[in-house]
Amino acid sequence: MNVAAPDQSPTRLDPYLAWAEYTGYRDYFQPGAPRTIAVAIKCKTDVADLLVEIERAKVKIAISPLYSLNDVVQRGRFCTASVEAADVHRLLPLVERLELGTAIDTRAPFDLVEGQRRKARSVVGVIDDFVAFGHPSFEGKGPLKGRSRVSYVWSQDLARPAAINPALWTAPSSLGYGYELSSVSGAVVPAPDLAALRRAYPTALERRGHGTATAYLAAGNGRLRGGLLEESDVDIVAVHLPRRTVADTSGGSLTVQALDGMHYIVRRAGFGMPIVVNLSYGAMAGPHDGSSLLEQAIDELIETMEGRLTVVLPAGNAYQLQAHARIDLPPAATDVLHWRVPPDSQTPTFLELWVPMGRESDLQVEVIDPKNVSVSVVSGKGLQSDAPGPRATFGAIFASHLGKGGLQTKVLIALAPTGAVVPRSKVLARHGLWRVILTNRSAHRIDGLHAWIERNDSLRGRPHRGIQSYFVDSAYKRNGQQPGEAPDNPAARVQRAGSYNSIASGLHTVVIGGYTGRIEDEHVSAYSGGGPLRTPTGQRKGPETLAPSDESRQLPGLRVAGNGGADTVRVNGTSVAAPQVTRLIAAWCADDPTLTLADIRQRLEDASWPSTTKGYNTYRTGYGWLDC
Amino acid sequence: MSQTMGAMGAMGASGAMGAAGAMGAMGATLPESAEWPPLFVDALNKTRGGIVDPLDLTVHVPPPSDLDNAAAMARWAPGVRQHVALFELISALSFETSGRQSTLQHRAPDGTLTDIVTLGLPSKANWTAVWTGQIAKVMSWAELREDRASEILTQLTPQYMFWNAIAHLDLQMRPKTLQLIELALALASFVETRFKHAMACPRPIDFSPEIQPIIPTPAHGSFPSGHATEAFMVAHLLTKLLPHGARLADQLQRLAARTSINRTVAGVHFPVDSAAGQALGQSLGEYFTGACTGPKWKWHARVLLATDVDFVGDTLPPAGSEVVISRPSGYPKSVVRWSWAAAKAEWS
Repeated sequence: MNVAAPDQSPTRLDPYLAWAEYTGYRDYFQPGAPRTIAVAIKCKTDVADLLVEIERAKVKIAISPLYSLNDVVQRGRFCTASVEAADVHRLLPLVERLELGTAIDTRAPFDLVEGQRRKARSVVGVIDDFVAFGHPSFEGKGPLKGRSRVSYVWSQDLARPAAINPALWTAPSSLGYGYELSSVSGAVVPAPDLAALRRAYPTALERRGHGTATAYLAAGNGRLRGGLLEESDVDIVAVHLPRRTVADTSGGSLTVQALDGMHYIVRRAGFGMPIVVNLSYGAMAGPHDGSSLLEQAIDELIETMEGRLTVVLPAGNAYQLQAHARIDLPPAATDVLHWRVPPDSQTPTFLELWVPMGRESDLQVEVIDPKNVSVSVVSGKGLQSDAPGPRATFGAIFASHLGKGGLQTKVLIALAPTGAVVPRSKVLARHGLWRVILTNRSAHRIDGLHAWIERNDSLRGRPHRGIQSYFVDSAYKRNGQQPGEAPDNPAARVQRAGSYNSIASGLHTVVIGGYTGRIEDEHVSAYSGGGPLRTPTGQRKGPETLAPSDESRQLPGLRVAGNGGADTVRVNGTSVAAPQVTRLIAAWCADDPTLTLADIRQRLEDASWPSTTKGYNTYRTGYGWLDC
Repeated sequence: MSQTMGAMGAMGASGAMGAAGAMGAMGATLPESAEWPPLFVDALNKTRGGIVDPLDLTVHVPPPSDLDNAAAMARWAPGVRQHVALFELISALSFETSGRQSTLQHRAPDGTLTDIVTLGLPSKANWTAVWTGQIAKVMSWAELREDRASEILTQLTPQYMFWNAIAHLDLQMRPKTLQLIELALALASFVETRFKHAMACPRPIDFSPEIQPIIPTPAHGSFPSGHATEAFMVAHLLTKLLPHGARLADQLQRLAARTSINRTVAGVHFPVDSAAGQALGQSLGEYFTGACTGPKWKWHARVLLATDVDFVGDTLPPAGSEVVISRPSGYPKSVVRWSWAAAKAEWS
C-alpha cells in the first residue's frame, strides 16, 4: 500500500524531518516530554536578518545566543535553534536550509561572555562524550601545578551532573542548556585542584572513555612517544556531547551539538588564540561533497577565524562495513541493491541515495521489505510509506530542496526499528533481506548513483541499541576469505572506496585516517575510511594523512588514559588517529601563531611518508604515513 | 526444553530433586544415602552397641489421623514431594490429537474435559510456504549470534540466574520456592514433550545446511519451544507467587521473550516455536497457579496454529476463551496446594 504524505507539494523540509513529522516524532520524543526539537539552520543571508524575519513572522523559536550574541557573530550564515515541533513549517520559508537535531527538553536564553584566559600559547578544543578533566595527565606546570589545564568544560547533557561535588557545575544565566565547569580562578570560587575536579565527575563512569582517550592523545601528559614521555602545556576546552547524541546514531543530532560546541570553544578560547578543535565523531551517509550543513558551517567558522582555528576530524571506521554502493544505470535499465537489515535494532535505520542534480526525475526507486511489501517513489510525489503516518514501518522520500551549491539530490529511505524494548507497542520494520530497485526512466545513462547506509551502531560499553545494516553483493570480495585485504571489485555495486566520514568532506577541515604498526609497514588499518569524494572543485579526495590507530595487528588500538587515575586502556579507530595530529598542529601553532591552513597542510605533507609499495590509493592515504 | 529437565526425564523424573539437594538448598552436611561411607556404618554400629542398654519397646508414635493427608508433605524429601505433586497434576490431564491439531485438556473427576491449550500445524498445502518464511527468519536472527552467545550458553539450563537478577529469589534461603519452580518446570517438561512428539516438527538444521547452529540441536521436536514454554510459565508463576510479583511482571515477560528469541538466534528454533511455547507456557502457568490458589480455577484456553510469524515477544498470544471452573474439593489432591502454600510462606 502506498500512502502519500498529506502535503504533496515540493517541500523544503529536510527528509529526516519529514519522516519524523510523518511518523509523529515517535523515535524522537519520550512520551510526555515537551515536543521541542533542536534544528541547525542555514540562513538566507545571515543570522541578523533571520532574527528580524522571525520577529516579523512571530515564530516561536529560540536562536542560540552563541550565534546571536552580538553584531559580529550575527554576520554568520549558520546557527542552531530550538523550535516547537508544531512551528517548524512556519520557520521553513524564512531559512534556506534546516536540519533536524535531537529532541531536547529545555533551551533557555544564553548570553555567554568571553572566558578568562590563562597564559597558554595555543588551545585545544575537544568535543567528545566525556573528558576526565581531573585526570593527572592534564595537570599543568608552574603556577598550574596540581591544577588542570582543562580550563572550561561545557557538558551539554541536560540533566544536572550527578557528581559527589556538583557545586563546581554551574548553570548560570550565561548558559543556555547543559552545565559548565571552570577550573580557572574566579573572584568567588578558588580554582579547584585535580582531586576536587574528580569529585565533579559523574558518579558512575566507564573505565574506557572515548573523550578521555582523544583528549589524552591531543593534549595529555605522559604519553609515550619514541621511548620518551611527552608533556603538553596547551590549554584545553572540552565539550561533552549529550549522551543522547553520543548514543544516537543517525548523525543528524551531531550537527546541532557539534556546531554549538565549536562556537562555545571559540568563545571560551578567545578570538586571538590559535585553536585546534578535535571532533572524533562522524556519520556515514551524506553527499560526500562538502555540502552538508555541518560541513558548510564549520568551513564558514574557520574562514571567519582567519587562520586561528583548525578543525581536525577522523576519516571514519566504515571502510569494511559494506555500507556504500555505487550504481550506473544505462537507459531504461533496472538494478537492485540487496540490503541486509538485522533483527533487534532498537533505533531506526536510514539509507541515503544520492542522485546527480537534474536527474532526479529520471529515477524511480522501489523499496521492498522481506515480506515483499513494496513502496515506490519518484521525484515530486512526496513521501510514500507502507502504512499511514505513525504506523508506517518504512517509507521513502525524494528531497526536493537541499540548498544551493550541492551537486546532488537525496532520496531518503527510512525504516522503523526492527526490535523494541520499550514501549511495547512500537512499530517494527521487518528484518531480513530488503531490496532497493532503481529504474532509469529516461533514454540517457545515469552515472554515479551512490547509496550510503547511515551509521546505526552501538558504542562499546554502552547498552545495545542500534545494529548496523549492510549491503550484500555476490561480486563483493570479503575480507577473511584471503590473507590480505581484499581489493574492491570494480564490477561490484558495493564499494569500500567512498566509505568515508560524511562530515569530513569540507574544504577547510583536516581529516586523518589510521594506520597499523610502524610507518614502514605501510599498513592502513582495515576500517580506515577513504574517498574518492565528489567535492565540486575536486580539492578534497580523502583524508589529509594517516596517523597511528593500532599498535600492531596483534595489539589493536593505542594505549591511552582511562577515566580513572591509573587506568590504561586500549582504544582504536580513526578517532584516536585524529587527536595525535591535533596535538602536532597545536604545538606548531604555539611556536608560530601565524601558520595558515595551507602552511599546516604543507607541514603535514612534508612530515608524512608517502605510499610506495602496497598499492593503496591516495584517496585513502592522503599524504601518507605520519609519525606521531 | 531445558537440559536439566531432559536429564530428569531420562532418570525417570526423580533426578531433578536430587540435583536440588545437591545444590545445598537444604544446607545438609551429611552425604546422600547412596554415598554413605562404610566407615559411618561401622561407627554407628559400634556406638549403638556401646550405649544402648536396656532395650525400650514402648510405642510412642500415635496412629495417623487420616490417610492421604497433605500435611505429611512436610515430612518428605523434596524429590518425593515432587513425585507426589507431579503425579496428581498429570493425573488430571488428557491429551488429544485431531487432524492437524493437538489439545491439552483438564479432566475433571467426573470425566468432563476442558481445553487448556491447542497447538496446530499448517495444512500440508501451506507447509512449504510457512517453513520457507521461517527459515529466512532464522537466518536473519543468526546475525545476532556473537552478541547473544553468552546468554545462549547460560540459558541452556533453567534461567535461575536471570530470574534471581530480576526477583532476588535468594533460593538458598527459600527451598520451598525452588521446589515449586522445579515442580512447574517438571510439569511443563512433560506437557511440552508430549506436544513435541505429537507435532513431530523438524528442527531448522533439518531444513537447511546453512543454519549451522552454535549449540547442539536437542533430540526432540522443534514445535513448540520448550524454553519458551518454561520461561513464560515461570514468569507467570513468579508474578503470582511473589508479594511484589506484579511489579516484576514486565521484566519477567521480557526475559522470557529474550530467552526464547535466543534459541532462534542460536539456530535451534523457529520464531513460531517461541510463539507456540509462549501460548503454552502462559496457559499452563495460569492452569498451574489456578490449581494452587483460589476457590475458582481460571485460565485462558489459547489456540496457536503455526503460521509464518516472527516472534519479538512483545504481545501475548490471543487470550482465547476464558475457562472458569469450580475446583472439586481436594482436586487435584491438596498436595499440590501444599507445595504452593509452603513456598508462599517463605515470602511472608
